[in-house]
Amino acid sequence: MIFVAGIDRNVIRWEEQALQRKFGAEFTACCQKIRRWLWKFTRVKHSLSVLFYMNDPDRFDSLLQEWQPTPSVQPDFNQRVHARIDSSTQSGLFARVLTFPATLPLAASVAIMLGASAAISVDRAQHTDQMATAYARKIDPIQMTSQGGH
Amino acid sequence: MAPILRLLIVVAVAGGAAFALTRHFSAPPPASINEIEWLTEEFKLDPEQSRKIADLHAAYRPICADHCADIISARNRIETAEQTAALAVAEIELRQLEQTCLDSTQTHLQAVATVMDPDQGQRYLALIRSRISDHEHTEPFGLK
Repeated sequence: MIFVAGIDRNVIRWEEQALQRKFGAEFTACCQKIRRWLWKFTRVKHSLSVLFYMNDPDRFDSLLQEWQPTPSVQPDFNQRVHARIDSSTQSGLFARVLTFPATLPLAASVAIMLGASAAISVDRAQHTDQMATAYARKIDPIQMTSQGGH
Repeated sequence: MAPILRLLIVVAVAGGAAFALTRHFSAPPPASINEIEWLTEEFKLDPEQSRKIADLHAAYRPICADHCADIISARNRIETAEQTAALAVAEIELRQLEQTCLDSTQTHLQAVATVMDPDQGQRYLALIRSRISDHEHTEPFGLK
């Protein structure tokens, strides 16, 4: 209480005087429109009405509670559901892997890597074979003579 | 389409395409070789090993040239031999020369392999010996 009274008597009053000196008539008009401590009742009522509306039961709640859907179910619906459940539980790991969405792109990626690796291996083997043959030809006199000598 | 069939088709197409494209765009082998550069790369030689093997090759080159000249002259003698006895002698001489050449080449290969690391030396001998001793000399070797 002492703190609030001190603020009201000293700080706020000093601020009001400073604003009055700076803005004059405009500040005076503003003070006539706006209350110092409490809102006008109409504004309070509006604010409370928002809260009141939030707590008000939804008028559609009762309708939703009374609403009973009557879907048309085919006679063999239960049998079909159980058949699908049985087929999914009886299928093996391989079948589940096959139907897994990531299986196809994963298999394609692995195939691409293996294909490229195989091509590189074949290229390298062929290159080594060619170079070794050419090297042997260079150091073997018998082969040299078959080609006309040094 | 059955999932397994679809998977097999995708794998075959992807793998085949990767194989074909990689082979198509891979760099072609060099037309001519520097044997020391190839040996260094293929058998992972260090600079000291490369230098020693280059020295061995340089020392072997005149021996190889001598053998080459001897074989050529022996073949010439066979072609020009008019008497059966002289032809037989020339053929024996040629076979002896070829055996000498083969022994000399094998000795050179063994010396080169000794310079390499043991594993690489064994691989070198297996790779090169088969191209020398198994060759029937009916036609020259050549790059494919």
